[in-house]
Amino acid sequence: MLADTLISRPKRWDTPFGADMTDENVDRVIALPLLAGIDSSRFSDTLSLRNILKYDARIIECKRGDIIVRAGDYGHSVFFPMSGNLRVITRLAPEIEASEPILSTKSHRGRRTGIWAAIKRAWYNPTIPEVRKYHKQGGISDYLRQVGDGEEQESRPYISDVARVLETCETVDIASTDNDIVGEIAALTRSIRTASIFAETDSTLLEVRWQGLRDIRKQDKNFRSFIDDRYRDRAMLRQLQELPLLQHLDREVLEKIIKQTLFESYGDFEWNRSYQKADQRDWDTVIEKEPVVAEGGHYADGLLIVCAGFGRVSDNLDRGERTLDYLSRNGMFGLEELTEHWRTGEEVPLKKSLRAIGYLDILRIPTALVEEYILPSLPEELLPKEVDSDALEWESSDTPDRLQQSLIDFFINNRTINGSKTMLINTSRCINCDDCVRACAVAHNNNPRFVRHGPTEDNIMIANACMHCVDPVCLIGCPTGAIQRDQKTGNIIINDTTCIGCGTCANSCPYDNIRMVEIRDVRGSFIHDTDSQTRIQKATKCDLCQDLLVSPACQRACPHDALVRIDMNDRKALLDWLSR
Amino acid sequence: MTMITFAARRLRNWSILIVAVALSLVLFAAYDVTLHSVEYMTGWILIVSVLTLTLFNLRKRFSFLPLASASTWLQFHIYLGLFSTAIFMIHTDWHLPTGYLETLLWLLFMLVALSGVFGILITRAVPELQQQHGEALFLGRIPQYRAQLAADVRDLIIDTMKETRTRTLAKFYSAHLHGYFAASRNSFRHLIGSGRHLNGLLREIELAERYLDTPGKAALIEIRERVLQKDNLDYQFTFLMLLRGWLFVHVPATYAMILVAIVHLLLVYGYGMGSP
Repeated sequence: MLADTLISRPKRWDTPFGADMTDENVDRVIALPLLAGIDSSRFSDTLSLRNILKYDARIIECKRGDIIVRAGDYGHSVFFPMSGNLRVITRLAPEIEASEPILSTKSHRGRRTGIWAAIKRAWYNPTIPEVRKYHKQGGISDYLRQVGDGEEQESRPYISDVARVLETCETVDIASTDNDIVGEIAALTRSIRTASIFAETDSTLLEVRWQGLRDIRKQDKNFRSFIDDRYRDRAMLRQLQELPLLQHLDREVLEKIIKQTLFESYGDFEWNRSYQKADQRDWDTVIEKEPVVAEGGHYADGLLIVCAGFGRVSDNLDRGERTLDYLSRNGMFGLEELTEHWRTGEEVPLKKSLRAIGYLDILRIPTALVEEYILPSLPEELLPKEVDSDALEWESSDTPDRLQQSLIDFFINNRTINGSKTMLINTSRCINCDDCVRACAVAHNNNPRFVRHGPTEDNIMIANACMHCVDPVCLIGCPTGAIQRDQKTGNIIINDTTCIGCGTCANSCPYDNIRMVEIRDVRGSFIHDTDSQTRIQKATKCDLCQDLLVSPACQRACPHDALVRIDMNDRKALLDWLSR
Repeated sequence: MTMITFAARRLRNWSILIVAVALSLVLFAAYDVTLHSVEYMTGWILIVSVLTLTLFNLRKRFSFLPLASASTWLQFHIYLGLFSTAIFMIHTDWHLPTGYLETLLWLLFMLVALSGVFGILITRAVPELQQQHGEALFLGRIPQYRAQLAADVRDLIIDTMKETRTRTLAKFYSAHLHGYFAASRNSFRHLIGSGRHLNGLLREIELAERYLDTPGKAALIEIRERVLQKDNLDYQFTFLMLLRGWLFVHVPATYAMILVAIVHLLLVYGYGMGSP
């Protein structure tokens, strides 16, 4: 019999973020003004500040022109300038967008084609798959610099003409002496970077990945206050103003609420990895593993508002948790109970539980503030209806605006709730005519960008098409920022020119909706890399036909109303479509 | 944007159709009072309607142009088709014409109209039926699945024969299974909803069981499972072919009808010059 293979159980810090974090370097960064004030005695031995900095941080040496973050990238780390000067581009000049494509937030197909170009498409689409026209040698590699050695080697994008960028674009200066940090909002809220930042001079930065930032913030009160104040100043007001519940409040009251509102994070930032491994059919285990944000039966200490990520609302039914709903950005939890408490003065326990699906960031507005400012001034139609306590559970729970139980489970288990343009197919109406696939192919040089196949529940199929996720994990780790969220449309787009074919996005996509393809020239020959002679690959996926005059082609081509691209968090649209 | 339900859309479209037909009847009556020939008017309405209906097929090729969605076009196609049928009945005065050409045109029109109605009915009914029957499949993948099932059964029988030296399975395979798995079978029975063929085969499997030892019986259970899977393949294949097949009647008949209609138009004007 063969002996079992024995290995040490993989641990969080088996692979440090950066290989160069020696003890001397840790000493160096710990002396940075923003970190020096942290009380290291509050950290445990295993999760010490030194260890966090050693394993969750790295030092980056940037040359003049190196891009630190780009608009449209997905934020997952924060930067502490240690020396040198940085510049934030607040407005990108159009001519720079053309001359420095690495800074562009548009895809190569970002412009809508004219009517004649659209008609021409019907006759001149290549018959060979994945054809690309290259007019010059090189390409995006002209804007990438190789840094590091061996496994640590990575491509860093840079601006070739810094002087011109400074001359033509609007920029804001950040000097290392400012003792400031950059990228914390995007890292904290897992959102898209809103501006590009580059090194104006040779600079040194400390990059701390999200996990480290989370732990430092958790342990040190001052650091937490610093980060949270930044978040309150820059992002919280904007989010609270989005809520219908708070729209009637004036700025002064909102600022009072903001001061006392807590920001909390739950779950795993890299949920896509555990999701890919887990057997989603084992519902009880999946639910058990989800961090509990608020538990049914406990008293509500505040109104919870989802900031980012997804939450599962469930109640306990006999021997298991029954999923009732899911919450996404701006979803609220606990309002019903708080209102009842405010109306009756009696303590009302939470009727449901809230768990983090993957990860969940929430804002917690304390009960006292909700009762003092929000509920008294709330228009009657926005207040939760009074619950008839004598009504039997099955008489009151299944309201018509609720999704069918099997579909709630299906959508959550397949994480379809992440989609802002999920392709759903009603198989009771689909006649397999493939008009959708053909239309998609015509729109993409005869290359269909989705597969009309996927998990099915009852008569609803989730097709293998990019869902343009609310939480697009495919963006994490793209070395050139080729895959990004289009700032105008919110769609996730791959810039074919800047894609280097590394496959990071395709591996990260939990839904297998990104495909790596080997590209060819107009004669049909594969295009090879000059040095290695290997075939050049590109990542491809649905781009919602953003360069077409009308889009998406798949939905418009379906004569039987069987296919829809739908925002899974627009509950009304979803219910309308399901009950058509 | 609120999505209109299918029922509301149907009600709206039928209402528009009924109003359009009623208005047409009033218009024709008024035209008749002025001693003009209503047949000329209905004839031209028909020609224009039929040519407009053929644009639907053309639109499918230009999905990337801003020409309204295919769904809107299909609705327009259906109800304009029904409107044309009403006008056609008025045009032919509700009876079969006497001339050969006109009879041919009448028959072609009816073939197009009835195949269209049949098409829309099956496109609504078949997906539901397929779903109720078993796993819905893609037409293009069915031959591959069928070949896989056939290979599985053949391998299963060969392996069992090697193990048990059974002759029953070999005989059973050549008598019942080889042909069954070789191609799509029992299409007509699937169309009429009959399960006789399947019940017969399952009965044969039951009868063969008594001659087999334990490994043979285990193989037979697996064969039974494959037979059921193949039956679903045949069912799905039959209905998927039906969904495509009706267009092979509807579309050629449409073009033939347009050709005959043009000849009819030329003859009407050729022989009827000077008529009002």
